[in-house]
Amino acid sequence: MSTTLSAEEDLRHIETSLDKLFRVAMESLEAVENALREAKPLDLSANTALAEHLKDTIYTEALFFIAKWQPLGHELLYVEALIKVSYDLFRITRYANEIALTISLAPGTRIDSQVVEVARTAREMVERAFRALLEKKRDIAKNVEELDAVIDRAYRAALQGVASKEQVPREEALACIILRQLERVADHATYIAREVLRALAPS
Amino acid sequence: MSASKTMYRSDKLLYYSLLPFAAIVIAAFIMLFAILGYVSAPALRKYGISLFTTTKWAPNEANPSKSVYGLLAPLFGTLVSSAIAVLLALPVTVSIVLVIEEYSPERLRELIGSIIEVMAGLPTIVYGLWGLEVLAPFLREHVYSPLHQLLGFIPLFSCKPITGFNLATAGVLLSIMILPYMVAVARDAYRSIPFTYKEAALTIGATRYEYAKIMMGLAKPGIIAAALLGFGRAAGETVAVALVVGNVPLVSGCLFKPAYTISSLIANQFSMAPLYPYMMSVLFTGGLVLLLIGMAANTVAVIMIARARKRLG
Amino acid sequence: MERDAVRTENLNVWIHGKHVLKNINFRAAVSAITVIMGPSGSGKSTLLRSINRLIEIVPGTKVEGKVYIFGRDIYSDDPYRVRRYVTMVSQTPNPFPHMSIYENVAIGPKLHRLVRSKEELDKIVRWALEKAMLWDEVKDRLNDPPTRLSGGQQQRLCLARALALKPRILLLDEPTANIDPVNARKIEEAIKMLVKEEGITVIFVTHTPAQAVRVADFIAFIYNGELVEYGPAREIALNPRHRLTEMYLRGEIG
Repeated sequence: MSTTLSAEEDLRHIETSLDKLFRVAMESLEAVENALREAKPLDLSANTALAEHLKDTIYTEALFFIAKWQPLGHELLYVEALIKVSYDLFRITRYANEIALTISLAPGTRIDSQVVEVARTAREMVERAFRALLEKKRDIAKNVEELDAVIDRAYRAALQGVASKEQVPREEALACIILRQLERVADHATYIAREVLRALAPS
Repeated sequence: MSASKTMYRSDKLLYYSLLPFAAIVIAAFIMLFAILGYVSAPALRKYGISLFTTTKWAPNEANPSKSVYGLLAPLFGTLVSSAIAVLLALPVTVSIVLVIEEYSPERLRELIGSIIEVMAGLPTIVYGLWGLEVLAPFLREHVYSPLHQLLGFIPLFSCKPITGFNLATAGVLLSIMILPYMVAVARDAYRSIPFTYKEAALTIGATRYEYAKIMMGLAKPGIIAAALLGFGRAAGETVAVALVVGNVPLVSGCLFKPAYTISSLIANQFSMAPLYPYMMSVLFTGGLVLLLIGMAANTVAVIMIARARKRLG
Repeated sequence: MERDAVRTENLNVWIHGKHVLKNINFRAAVSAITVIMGPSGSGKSTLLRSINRLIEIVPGTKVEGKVYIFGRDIYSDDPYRVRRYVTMVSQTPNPFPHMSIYENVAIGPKLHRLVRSKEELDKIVRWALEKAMLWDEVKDRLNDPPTRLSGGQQQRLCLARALALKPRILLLDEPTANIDPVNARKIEEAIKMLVKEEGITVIFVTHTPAQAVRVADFIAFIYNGELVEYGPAREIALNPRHRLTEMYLRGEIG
C-alpha cells in the first residue's frame, strides 16, 4: 500500500482498475466477433473470472474511498457510477462468455453475418459509453441510447422470425439466442451511458 | 427576569461596599507623594539642581545659611551598591531556579525552597550585624586585599581596602538580602512556562544545557523583572547597609572606598535634622528620589511580567 | 534491513502506579503513515512518547519492554540522540515565542551542528518551511515573532521545526486537534507529501476515525492501554475484526 496525496489520486487508482476491467470486456467481445465470423469454438472462462475479481476490487476500493474522503455532491455520484459501471462491465464479460458457450455447443455452425454486425455494434456501444465516462463527455453518452434501439429491433426481428415458423433451423435458433445475449450487452452499455449522464456534473 | 435583577442589585451592593477599601489604597498613595513633595519643596526651591550635583554634606551650626547639602554621593552609593547587588545575585538566582526546578529531587527542592523562605523572613538588622561582624572583615581579608594586589591596575580595585566597610561590602550584603525575592519572582516566571514548551525543546533533541538555555530565554522577561524588583528593594534597604557602607559621602570609581546611600543618610541624619534649617527638607527630597527609583523599577518589572504572561499565552 | 521503522516488544508503562500501556506490540512500517487511533486517555499519546523517550520527563514513570527503531533498542541509547532523528509535533502549536520564525526552524540544526555556514542553514530553513507548506506565507517576514501567525500557521511552523532536523521518523500527536479545518487539511497534505517524496516514516495520533482513515496506511487501535487491533487502513475501515474497533468506528465508545 502506498500513501496517496489526494482524493483525485485515489480516484485515478479506481479508474485504472476499471479501465483494466473494460479491456477485459472489450477483448471478450472482440473474441466473440471473431468466433462468430469463423464459426470456431471459444473459451472465455478465464476472462470472466478476471472480470469478477476486478469488479470486487473496485467495489472495495470505492467503498474505502467513500469512507476515507467522505465525498459529497457529484464526486459521490461519480464514485457510485464507478461501482455500477464495474458491475455492468462484469456482466458484459459474462454475456460474452455465454455467447462463447453457445457457439462452442455447435461448432462449425455458420451464423448469419448480420449477427456479427450486431456484435460489432454492441461492442462499439460499450466502448463509446465507457469513453464518455472516463473523458467525462455527456454528448458521447447520448448517442449510445440511439444505437440501443437498433439492436433491440434486430433482436425482435429474429425473435419474430423464430416464433412464426413451425420448424426452425439450427443456425436461426442459435442466432436468436446469441442476439438475445447481445441485446443484454447493449442494455448494459446503455446503463453505463445513463450513469454518465446522471453522475457527471452538467458543465 | 426578576432573579437576574436582584442578583444585579446585590452585586452592586457588594461593589459599593468594597469600594472604600480600594479608595484608601489610592488615597494613601497620593498622600505619600503629596507629603514627600510638600516637605521637599523648600529644599528644592533653595538649592535647586545643585542638590544632585554636589557631593559635599556640610551642615553649618554657626551659620545655617552656609550649610551645604549634596545628595550626589548618597545617590551614587545607592545606585552602585544596588547595581552590584543585582549583578551578583542574578547568576545565583538563575542557577538556583534551574537547580530547584529541573535538577533536584523533590526533597532537596523543598529544602532549598524553605531555606530561601526563611532567608526572606529574617529581620534586616540580623543581616546588618552579620555583615558588620563577619562579612566585612572576611571580604577585606580574603577578597578585597588579593583583588587589590592582583588586579590593582583596574580602577575598580585600585584603592587599598583599609576597612571592610565600603561600597563593595554593601553590594555583597545587599545581594544576599535580595536573593530570596529575586528567586521567588524568577521561579514564578520559570514555573509559568507552559509544559508544552518544555516538551518542544526536548523534542528537537536539546540536551540539558541547551534545554536550560531555551527555558531561560522563555523566562527572560520574568528574570529581568526579578532583577528590577531586586534593584528596587536594594535601593530602599536601610539598616543593614548603614552598618557596612562606611557612611562617608564620596563619589569614587573604586569599590573599596567607603560610601553613603540615600537610605543610610536618612537613617543617620534624621535625628539631627530638626536642629538645622532645610536639612529635614533635603532628607525628604532624598526620600522622594528613592520613591521614584523604586517606582520606576517596579513599574518596568510589572510591565515585563505582564508581557511575559501575554507571550506565553 | 528491517521492514519496520519502529517496533515495540511487550511495552508496558506505568505512570504513578497506573498501568497505562499493557504489553504493547506495535509496529510502524518504513515510509508509511501509521495512525494510532483511540479515545482520550487510552494511552495513545503515551505510546507515541515512548518512541522518542519523552515519556521519561513525566515524574513517576516506569517503562518496561523494548522499543526498537530501525532494529536498535533505544532504551539502551542516549535519549537526546534518539530525539535527533525521531522528532515530534505536539497537539497545541508551541513555537518558541521568544525566537523569530526563522530561529524557530533553525534551532534544531544549530543545536546539533548540522550546518557549517549561514547559507546551508538558510537552505535547510527554507526546505523545512516549504515542506511544511508555509514558505510562501512567511518568506517575507522570517524575522517576525511566531505570535503574529495564526494558530494553523504556527502549527505548520512547528512541523517545519521538527523537519529541519531531517528526521527519519516524525511523531504527530493530534497535530490538527486545535486548528481550523483548512489548515488541518494542509497539514495532512504536507505530511503525506513528506512520506511520498522524502520517505519519512510517520506515526500519527488521532482520536477521530474519519481522520485516521483519511491519512493512514496502517491503523493501530488502542483502547484502555491495550492494542486492540492493527492492520492496513482499508482492513480496519471496511472489515474490523474486533468488536471494540467496530464500535469505536461507529462512535459508540470513546
